[in-house]
Parts: sequence; C-alpha cells; structure tokens
Amino acid sequence: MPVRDHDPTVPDWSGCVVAVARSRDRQSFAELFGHFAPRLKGFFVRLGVSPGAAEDLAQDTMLIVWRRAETFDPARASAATWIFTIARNLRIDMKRRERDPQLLADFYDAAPMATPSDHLSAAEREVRVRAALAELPVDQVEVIRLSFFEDRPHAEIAGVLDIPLGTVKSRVRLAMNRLRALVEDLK
Amino acid sequence: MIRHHPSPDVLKQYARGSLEGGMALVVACHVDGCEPCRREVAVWESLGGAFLQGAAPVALAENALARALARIDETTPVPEAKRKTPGFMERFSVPEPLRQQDIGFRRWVSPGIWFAPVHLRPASKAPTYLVYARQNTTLPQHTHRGAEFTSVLYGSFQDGNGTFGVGDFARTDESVFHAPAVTAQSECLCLIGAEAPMHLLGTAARIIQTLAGGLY
Repeated sequence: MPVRDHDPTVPDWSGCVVAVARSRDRQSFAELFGHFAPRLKGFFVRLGVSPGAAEDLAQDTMLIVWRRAETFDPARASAATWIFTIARNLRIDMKRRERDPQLLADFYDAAPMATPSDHLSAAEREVRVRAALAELPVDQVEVIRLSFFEDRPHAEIAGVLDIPLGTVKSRVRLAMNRLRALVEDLK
Repeated sequence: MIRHHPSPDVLKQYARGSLEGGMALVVACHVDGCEPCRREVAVWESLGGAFLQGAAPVALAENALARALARIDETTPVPEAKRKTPGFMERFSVPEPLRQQDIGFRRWVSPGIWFAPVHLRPASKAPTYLVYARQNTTLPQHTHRGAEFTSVLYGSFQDGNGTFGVGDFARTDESVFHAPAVTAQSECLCLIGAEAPMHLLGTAARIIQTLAGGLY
C-alpha cells in the first residue's frame, strides 16, 4: 500500500517522485524542488554547513532524487522520509570528504534506501509516527527535533531551551518510549 | 538468534547520519538482519522525514530551480558501478550493505587468520575491514583507540563479554582489552569499523599488525 500523506491539504509528494520515475515529469520535479530544496538547505545549514555549501548539498540531494527516482518504493517510505535518507547519506559522504578534501564526490553510487521493516507497513508506520508527533507534548517534540534532526548535543539543547540537562534527557526518553509504544501497537 | 544489539543511541546516530562511514556500514549490516533494530531505525527515519517536510525553509539562490533543471538536462544517469566480490568471500552470505562495497585483497597474518580491507566510497581513513579466523584461534590481545564496532557475519567468537554469533553487534573502545577467541565449534568472519587503528599489545601482535599492512 503506497504511503499517502494523510493530510489531504498536503500535496502528494510520493506521487510526484513516482511521476519523475515513470515519465521524467519535470513539473512534478519542480514541485518537489520547490518544497524540499529550501528545507534541505535549512537542514544542512542547521548542521553547521555554510549557506553556499548547504545550497550545493540541497542541489545535490535533488539531483539524486531525479536520478534515483526509480529506486523509490512508495510501499517502503514516504517521499519525505526517502529524501531525508538521501540527505543523510550525503552528509555521511560529506564528512568523509572533509577528512580528505582531495576525494572526488562519488555519491551517485550511494544507494539511498530508507530502512524497511517487515513488522508493519511503511504506510502505518509513517502515519503513526506523524500522529504521535502531533500528540506528544510540544516540549518533547522540540527536544527530539533538536537532538535528532539538528544533531545538537544534549548540553546545547539545555542551553537553547534554558532547561536542566536532566530534563532534556528525560524528555528525549519519554518521547521515544511513546513513539516506540505507538509503533509496537500496530501488529 | 541475535543477542547483542547496538544501543538505542547508536541506532539514533546511525539514522541521522552522524556515524563515521565504516562504523555506519557495520551498523547497517547488523540492522539488515535484525528486525527490532530495523524497526527502531525506520521510526527515526520516519521522524526525519516528518521533520524535513515541516522544516523551516531557507531561501535558495534566485536561479536555483533553473540550475537544478539544467543539471538534470546535462547529466546522464551514471550506471551503477559493478562491485566485484572476491573469490574468498563467495562461500559467505554477505549482507546487502556490504555487497555494495569493494573488498580488497586478503592478507593472512597467521595460519588461521586473515584481514581484508573494505574500500568505502568515498574513501575513509578510518579502518574498515573483514577479519576471518579459523576454529581454535585467538586474536592477539589488543585494545582500541576510540570506538570500534563489530558485526558477526559468519560463525561466532567469544571474549570476556560473552559469545557473539551471526548478526550480533559488539562495541568496544579504549577501555576494553580483549583477545577474542574462536572456538572449535565454528570459524568466524567479522566486519569491523573503527575510529582509529587497533592498538595491539606485545611484540608478536605488532609483527602481525605489520603483516596485515599496518592498517589494523
């Protein structure tokens, strides 16, 4: 079952990737680019990449979306999750290149694949995770977002939110326990 | 049956891409065969997707879309590079993430033990390699500089922390001195990803390290 964005007011990003795969549909690509490229740039900037390099990485991510659209499987992940895993893989490659700047970019070979789980369908997982995010207390979601998505150390999060370090840790733990519980429910 | 897993924190680091390449590969090989860990990583990746979709946008250069469309026009898809699995690996069942890497020549360091480097793309200076040991062999006692991840691909080994079988994951660091042993029951093949080369203790061990090409 393909993963649909459960909010009908949100465009069908997965359908856009499928259209790119099937017919090299430039209009669908432009829609994906319009939504995700500025957010990818923001993702890289918040990880400490300079704005210029972040723009290039956002471009590279979208180029891989175009080139590898055939490998996208809507039954396995939503388009947003798939694009996140591409950006994540580019970040790993970027860190390797930082250590040895002479290395040429070689990311086209990377197989950007969201991790499958046969425990439950991707559709159920994505919907549940998003529902859980809507349900969790805002302060728990914010801590998870800063810790996971922005990769900030717990001590820094404590400073940003002006809360004790122990509170950061307990919020992360509470939020993850809740998310796991919701996913476990889905047998 | 898998008994040893990466910690929740390691799975989180893996899912967000903050592990060094070789260590990420070791985790990927474990996750490939471990349903509970796949589930945990999939939840993190779904969270990543949700956060990305709802992230605050940062303005792009004015001609960004034109640039992207020009790039997709001027480039033809690169055919997937063929990975060559060396003959000595053919009898092992190799997890998919490792199948996508190039494996270099193996070097026997003693009658029962060989090492073979895994060449990551892009290359990484952190050591990533396969270690094979026959029945009734023991690796020289050693410790590590920084963290080191191990995924058992075939057979099993034992050290002070227990028995590690197929699919099991082990993490060691500079606080661990061990001499992993392979028992009479089975030979053993492991994939190892480290932050830094292994620190062998003793002269004999250093000779082996030299034989292994100094990489490990």
